[in-house]
Amino acid sequence: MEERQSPSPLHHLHPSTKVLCLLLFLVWAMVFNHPLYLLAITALVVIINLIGGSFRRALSFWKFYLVIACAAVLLWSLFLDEPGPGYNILGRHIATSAILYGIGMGLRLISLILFAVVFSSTTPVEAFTYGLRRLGLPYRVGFSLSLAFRLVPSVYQTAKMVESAQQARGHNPRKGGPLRRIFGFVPLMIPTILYTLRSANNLSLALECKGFGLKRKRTSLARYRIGWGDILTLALFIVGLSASIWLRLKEYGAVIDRL
Amino acid sequence: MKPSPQSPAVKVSGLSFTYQDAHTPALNDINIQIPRGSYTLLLGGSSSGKTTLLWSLARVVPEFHPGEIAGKIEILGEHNTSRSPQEMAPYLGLIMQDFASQLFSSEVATEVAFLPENLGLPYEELARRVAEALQMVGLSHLVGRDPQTLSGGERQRLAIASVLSGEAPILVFDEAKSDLDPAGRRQIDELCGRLCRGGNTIISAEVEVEEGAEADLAILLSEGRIVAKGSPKEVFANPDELIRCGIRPLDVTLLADEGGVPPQTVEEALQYLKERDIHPHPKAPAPKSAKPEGEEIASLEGVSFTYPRSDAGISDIDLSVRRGEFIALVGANGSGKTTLVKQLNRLLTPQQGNVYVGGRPTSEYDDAELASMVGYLFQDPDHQIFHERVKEEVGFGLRNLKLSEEETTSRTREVLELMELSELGEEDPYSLNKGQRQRLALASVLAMHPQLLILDEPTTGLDYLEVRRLMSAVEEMNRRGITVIAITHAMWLVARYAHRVAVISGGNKAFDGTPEELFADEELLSSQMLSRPQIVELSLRLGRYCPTVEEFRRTFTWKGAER
Repeated sequence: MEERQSPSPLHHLHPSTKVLCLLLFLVWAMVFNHPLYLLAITALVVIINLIGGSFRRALSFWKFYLVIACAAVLLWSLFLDEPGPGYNILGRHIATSAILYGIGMGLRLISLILFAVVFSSTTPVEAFTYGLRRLGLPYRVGFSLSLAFRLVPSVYQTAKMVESAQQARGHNPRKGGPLRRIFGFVPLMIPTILYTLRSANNLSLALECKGFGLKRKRTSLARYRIGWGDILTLALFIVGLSASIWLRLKEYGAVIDRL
Repeated sequence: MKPSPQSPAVKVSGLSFTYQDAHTPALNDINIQIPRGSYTLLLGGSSSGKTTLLWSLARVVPEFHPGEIAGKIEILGEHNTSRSPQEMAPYLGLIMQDFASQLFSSEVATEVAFLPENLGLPYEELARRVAEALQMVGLSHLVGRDPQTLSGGERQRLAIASVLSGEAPILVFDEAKSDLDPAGRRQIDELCGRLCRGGNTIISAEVEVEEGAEADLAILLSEGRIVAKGSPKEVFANPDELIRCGIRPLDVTLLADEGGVPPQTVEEALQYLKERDIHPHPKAPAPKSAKPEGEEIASLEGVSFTYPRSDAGISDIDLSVRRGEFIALVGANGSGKTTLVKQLNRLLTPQQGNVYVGGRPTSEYDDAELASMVGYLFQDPDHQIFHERVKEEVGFGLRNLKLSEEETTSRTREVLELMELSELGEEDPYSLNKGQRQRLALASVLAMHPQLLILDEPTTGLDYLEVRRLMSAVEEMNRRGITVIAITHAMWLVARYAHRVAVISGGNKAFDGTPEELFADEELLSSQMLSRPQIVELSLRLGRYCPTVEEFRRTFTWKGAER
């Protein structure tokens, strides 16, 4: 059975606080584009992951971070047409500012993923729905949104099962050239999609039969209270974001004048 | 909806239903009346209309699955016509067959609370209902767990608790026990009995009959019509009709004279046969040698495997498989049966120990080569089907083996014939029923001419006629020399087909021997919550071992035995 994690201080925060912090962080990560400033923000999210007990899980995606970082540097360096000092590679001018911007974008994406990891690790799907609802989102919308997150692991499980079933018939999608590999995923994708659609249909039937949407005023078994931890966390995020916006307005934290 | 206290729980009059785009009705002129506090067994094979009937009570048809409906349905004295499935929830709880897709919460308690939360009940009432529902299914100790981390049996019980918490007076189980091991089934039966004694009305759709069924009423459906209705004793007394409807009858009912009233329990059968002077047949054939003694085709030596972040797996298992054997693997849900067989075709690789197929370690084979040696049929055929035509689906594995088109066509024709699917070669696999899809999946595996065939609970969700068709094809392949390893909870399949049986318990091999040895070991059967098929129990009580009714008839004779 799965390893169980002991609850961290972040687990005890009110769901609305966590959803608000998520929204504030989405803005915060957009304020700077200078890699040093974004490195500081990434370091902050690493600390949050350490507090939330999700650091090991976050670290397990390191290959993914590396791919994102490399792709970001490469894409922005090549396609961001910036003047100024730089390098001449194969007759194309690549500005230092574009490279720095690319590094910054890589860090921005990594920090967002890290935040998503700590958020999903410390917020059960029901708490997420509750938080969205308390912030004014209709229950059905919030529930559907959180359900979509919840279904990701079950789709993954289905895909693994399908892969095993096809492997048992001698199919290996990871063999051969790029084109063969792409077509090699068709025997995995079709059963996975059809199975997932069937499961989704069964789930929606089960939800209806369990009275989903029956009453306008739905009650909840979960009880959450706003505590000092919530006030402090929100205050830190608001102060941090405000200070960052102020710095950016004072023309700090940007290698290029854009988001 | 205001339930009337005098009315029956369910009254169905002249109900017919045809799904949108279907040509034939799924239900045809159904008339039933189910008293409050009763336990009704709804029997029928695939496409008999059981699920549609249950759905019509819960208004899933025509609200969720549209179609043309005629007739009247009264639930607790009120017409359900203008209700939605949501509005039916406080009165009728529906527990579906596919329990895995009914669970969506991240915690056991919140899963169970979902239904009463939708009813807008106050916190104290929610807490009480959650605690009581979990206690009823024996999951109170798992209140904070993530449902995805529970075993199959626990998840099934959780799915039931998530409906029980609605405290609906009528509870409807749609083949809710099909994935469970014998112990899990027994727990659900006991729960249904308790609920019934507590005043609930239970309606349970099944594809099997069980000795001593506690139901008050049994209804047999076939092709959308009621074929028989009465007490279980009355309905079970006609084994030929049950078989025609896709239901496996009680073994002992097949021993009665033509037109006689058949016994239904082992005790009744003993009495019945003694009255008819039962004795061993003078020309009874000598017992056959049970075990083929071919060379070793596969073996596991000290194999251990544990899943990441889990205690589940297998530990230090040895198993030697001989050519031509039919081995049954039995054991509780989550005991490690599937983990064990997946080592044989490298779907899992052992963390300790060695696995050999055809005398070579499995690590030395490439994927296609191993797949052609070891065929694996998954429980759900929909995990593998993806082609648009039956023929192409069968040819998929053959193309992975890079066989010529000629050879592919010839093998495809051969296995489609064996599986009685020749006429469906051009059809879309998704247009076939579950039994046909399972046979198609088996055909696509057999086309690769494996030397060892692994079947992972191949009969789950199939009716008796489909099981017989599937298993007779497997038996034929076994007769031709293919070695078979089948995971199953059906002990009659073990008795009928297996030469050898291994019991897996908690990741260890608890027993390895012949079915006869297993069924003779009372202590082991009891500790592993396994039971003997009726005919085995009866024959052992008469001093012989007979795995099937046919064998019993060959071994014994009695007055009126020539049926």
